[in-house]
Amino acid sequence: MPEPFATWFPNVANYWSTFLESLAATFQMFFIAGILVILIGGAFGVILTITKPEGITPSKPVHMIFEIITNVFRSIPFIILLIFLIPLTRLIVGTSIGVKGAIVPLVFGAVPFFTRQTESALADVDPGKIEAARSMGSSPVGIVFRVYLHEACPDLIRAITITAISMIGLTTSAGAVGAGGVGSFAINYGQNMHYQDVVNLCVIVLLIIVSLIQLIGNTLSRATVNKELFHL
Amino acid sequence: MKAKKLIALACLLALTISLLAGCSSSSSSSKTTDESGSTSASTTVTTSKDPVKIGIPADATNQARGLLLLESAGLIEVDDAAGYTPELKDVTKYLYNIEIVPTQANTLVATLDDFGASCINGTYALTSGLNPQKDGLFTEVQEKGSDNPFINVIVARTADKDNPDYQTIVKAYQSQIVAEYTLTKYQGASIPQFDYDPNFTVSDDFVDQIEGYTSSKEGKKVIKVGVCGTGDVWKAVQKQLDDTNSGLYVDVVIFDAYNLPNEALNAGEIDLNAFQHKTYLQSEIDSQGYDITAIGDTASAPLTLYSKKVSSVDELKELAGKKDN
Repeated sequence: MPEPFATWFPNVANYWSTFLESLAATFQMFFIAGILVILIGGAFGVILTITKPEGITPSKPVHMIFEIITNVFRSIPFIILLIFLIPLTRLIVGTSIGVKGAIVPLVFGAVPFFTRQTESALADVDPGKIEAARSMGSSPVGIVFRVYLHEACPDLIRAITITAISMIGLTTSAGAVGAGGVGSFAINYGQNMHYQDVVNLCVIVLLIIVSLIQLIGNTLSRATVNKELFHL
Repeated sequence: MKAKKLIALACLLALTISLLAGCSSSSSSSKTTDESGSTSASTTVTTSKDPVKIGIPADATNQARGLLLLESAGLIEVDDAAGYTPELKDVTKYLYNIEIVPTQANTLVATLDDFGASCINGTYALTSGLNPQKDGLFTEVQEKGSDNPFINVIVARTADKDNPDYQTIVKAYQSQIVAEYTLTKYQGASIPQFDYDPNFTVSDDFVDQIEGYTSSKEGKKVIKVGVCGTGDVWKAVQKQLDDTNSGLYVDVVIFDAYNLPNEALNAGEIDLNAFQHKTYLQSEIDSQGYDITAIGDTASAPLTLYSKKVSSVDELKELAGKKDN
């Protein structure tokens, strides 16, 4: 460890290995839950978009069910959700504590948010293009992949960026179920021990992560405007 | 190009704000301690009519302790029928003109300037530089071996309470090295509740040595222990376990909140937990139906009444003034 680091952050230096473990826990939760959220939330968003009355395959009951699921889970505060989902978490991954136990509530917490983001991104797709694809005989699946997801690509990347950053926020609560992470480290070793340097470093690290995600998101979203980056 | 510059600017701005916030909070707290001496004279005059605010922890069991502490300090009277767990509604009489304000336990130190006095848990007080022996007005009395229900315990599932490995861990906790670590690190804010030799000397870097102690789980039986807070004391326990060749490895699982370690223990996701006193354990067993039981005493963290406005309980009473009921 470089010398100035130990003078600036003396308490972090003492707990260096604990800090690294907490960083690892945050990244594990973020990536595993994040991928699931993009897949499940994306699917939910597409289903909500195509089943609404003016969508390409209108279906009132399906639309209602997904609408209700999304609203219910959006209204539960995350820290309550963590505890509320314990029985289900145990059923799915076998334990309700640690990184594994935090991933299920993280997915449940972030999927509804990403669903709404996806829905709003897809709503901006020009209806004329959908109509054109349909008149040329495209199937609903074709329209979803070749029109909706293709046209909305920059917006979807922006939505993923926003969701990813809000998920970093959610992972900081996961310490409640013993999952560790940067947030838990900041609370237990920083705030409660009154080691201000620990809190400061955690804030800086989170800031760097958030800035990086935003930078990557902005770059990708600009690169995909009207370009065939992803051939779907 | 423009966007890149903006992002860099935003990063820089956020960085300076976070750093400033960090620095200012520490400097402001030290400033207020200097000033409190000069402002206390004026507050004595002006607040004679408003009730003096007393902060107590907001969570149920610590709140009960806070009320009992205020009762033994002679500020209030509490209904005896409530036993060890009175609530705010069980306060039968305010002897002095005070208002009791429940506040999140870990923020009581930061808000001490805003209260006439506050009941603060030893663990939170000491880490912020408040020493119960030097700065406290009045401290909870906790005698070893008494029926004091606020002694912290190691808890196991009732079915496993005689498990020899768990007994080994209790024995390792109740060892001289753990007592020395607890007393040196917490200086009276946490007191071991088992037999130890109080006449000991440790080297200056003893605490750092313990906290830097690492052990490998290879070839050892792993015992998962749920704790709240840092769990550093378990490094001393691990050292004792290794020194006695017990073949056990303590895997510490840190929980941020009190509501889960018992749930996780009851469900068999951890083997032991150590974060609560007997009263909290009993209330959890009663309300949640957990089949868990205490298998050993660890330490107690007395609650102390602190103030930045007055320096004794008598001065606090004078500041508040008698209340006519």
